[in-house]
Amino acid sequence: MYEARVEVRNDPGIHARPAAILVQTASRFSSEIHVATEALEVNAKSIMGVMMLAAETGTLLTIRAQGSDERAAVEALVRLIEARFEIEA
Amino acid sequence: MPKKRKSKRIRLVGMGASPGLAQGPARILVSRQQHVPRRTVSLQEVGAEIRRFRTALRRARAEIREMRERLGRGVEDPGDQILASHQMILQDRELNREIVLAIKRERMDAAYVVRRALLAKARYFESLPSEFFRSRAADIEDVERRLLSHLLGTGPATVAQVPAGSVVVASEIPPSETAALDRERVAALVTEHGTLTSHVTIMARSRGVPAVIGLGEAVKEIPEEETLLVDGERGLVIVAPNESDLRHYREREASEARVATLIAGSEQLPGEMRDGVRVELLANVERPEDASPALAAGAEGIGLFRTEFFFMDATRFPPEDAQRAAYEEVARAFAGRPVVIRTMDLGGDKYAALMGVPHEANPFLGLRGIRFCLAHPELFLVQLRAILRAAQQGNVRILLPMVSQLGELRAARDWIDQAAEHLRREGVAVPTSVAVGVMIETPSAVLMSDVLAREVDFFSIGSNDLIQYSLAVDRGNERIAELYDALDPAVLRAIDLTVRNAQASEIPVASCGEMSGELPGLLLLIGLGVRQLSVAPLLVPRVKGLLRRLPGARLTDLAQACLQAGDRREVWERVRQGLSEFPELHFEQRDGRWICQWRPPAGGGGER
Repeated sequence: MYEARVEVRNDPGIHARPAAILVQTASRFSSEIHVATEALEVNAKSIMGVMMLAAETGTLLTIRAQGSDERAAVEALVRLIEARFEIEA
Repeated sequence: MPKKRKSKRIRLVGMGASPGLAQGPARILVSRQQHVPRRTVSLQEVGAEIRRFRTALRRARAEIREMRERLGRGVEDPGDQILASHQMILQDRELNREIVLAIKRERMDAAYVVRRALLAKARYFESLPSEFFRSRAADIEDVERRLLSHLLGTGPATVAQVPAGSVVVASEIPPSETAALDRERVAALVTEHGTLTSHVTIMARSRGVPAVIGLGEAVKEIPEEETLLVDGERGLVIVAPNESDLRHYREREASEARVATLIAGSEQLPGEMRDGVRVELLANVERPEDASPALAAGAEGIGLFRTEFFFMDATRFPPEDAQRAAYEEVARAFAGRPVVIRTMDLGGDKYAALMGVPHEANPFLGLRGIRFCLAHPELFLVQLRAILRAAQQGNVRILLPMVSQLGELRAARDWIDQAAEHLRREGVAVPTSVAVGVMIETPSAVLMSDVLAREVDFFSIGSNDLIQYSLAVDRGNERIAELYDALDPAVLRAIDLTVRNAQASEIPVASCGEMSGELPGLLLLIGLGVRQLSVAPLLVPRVKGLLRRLPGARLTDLAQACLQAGDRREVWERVRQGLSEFPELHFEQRDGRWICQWRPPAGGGGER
């Protein structure tokens, strides 16, 4: 199990398009990956789940992964979120 | 052919969501409210229900894939992005597993489970405080309708099926439908619901389809195939127009085309009248992303950056860095040209949920504007810090909303000094001084404008509120809306006094309300001595182009004459007379009110 925290930086937050990018990125890893806010924890490979986080700019997220590529998965997602979804992760 | 059925002319007013004029037969899209009965199935049927669900999923996905291919707009297109997101929802394993499990465990009909699961998600999104996330509910409902249509074998009525040239009338347009919008098929859109940030607004604008939204129950009065006139700029829909409406429409359409030719290229020119009177054209913006379109439209600065959007979309107060980034974006885009940032103009019941404002019987006379800022110094300071930091990146000025007494200005100035002082102590660079101005929008600010002028760097006249407060007229109240008129001599006198007091203290006066972009109000503002007009980016080229064809000096005499008028009728009369030598300015009475429009003559040459 590997986890990291990251703050949402893009404006206005992880709405439709960033959510899709996050899910696509997460889906490239075999590990189980979860993203959590204070209120909710969801599967990072589920678009519905990620949208339901309703994570706005400034929200603190915890990303947890369990599996063979857990560390790489968490790091890729952190990089993506820190780069405001503007990089190819 | 439209049916020849005699219906009554109806004039409906909604929100202008996407500008443009259109005429066409109404096509009413009925949103299919399918009834899905709760039905349990036998153990043997469970497998078949699950297969039925999977088939519907596959078909729905294929349908979207085909739509995307047919439209062929590429992944950068916002319509394609909507469809892509629906495809992803249909591929969501977690969601699919949830539905399959429910079918198995509860031995329930697939259609019923789909509806229950997706509508529960939609309700969840609707409950979110942020409008961005709330609007996802419409996507979920859209996906739900599509899945159900495959499960139940019914095809939905779609925008893509209306005959070319139709005015599409709907309760609301599902997001995936907006992707199929194109000007050739859909002449205009008219909806019962919708907001200025919903998919339909964004798509209608990007495709150039005129749209009027939020008409409410009134859309139900529109008969199928009846002719509609749609004015997407003024938010007007005329059902069963009469001869005079149609003539008016044709004339405006023709003159709009001439206006478009005349103003093409004016973006690069300065705001200047035919006789050299300089009138700066500035833009009102609401979001940082409005800055570059405003610049492209030829705005010479930002006359009003409303900062309320942060608060409309947010679940909590926007942090300093997010605010600073937004302000900097605008300041940088305008590289050294003035950018006037208005501190939060909050208050009223609109923000009650977010900010914990108690209900007020009279919100317009309550804790709003600068009063709200001063009552919440912890929020005000954060905003001031963000503005001051952004001021390092450009020519940023601070505008205080709804100031009604000197003490408020002084208190706000103290907070500004304190914010700057804190930042300096923290080692953050801030400019040595930032210009501070006040909105003139209350009668008390007008009456005290000589005193205020000595302590500020500029004035900005907020005509909308100034008219409302000066005339004691709520223009949202239909029974008295007629009394709301920028040309009321009381309003003109208030502006005149403000401008004279500003001139005595040698500070500039801008005007940023609707009056600054409307004929003939903007001409009277210039006549009264206002030299900066701040208007919606869309209007910048138009107002600039018009002013370049009119002499400014003549407007002074006209404004003086209007100040002496007894009531608004007399003002209108004097304006019509005074401007009669400019045949491009067309006056006519519509629905009991005078209106003035710019109608350049056919074949009229370029400027000068």
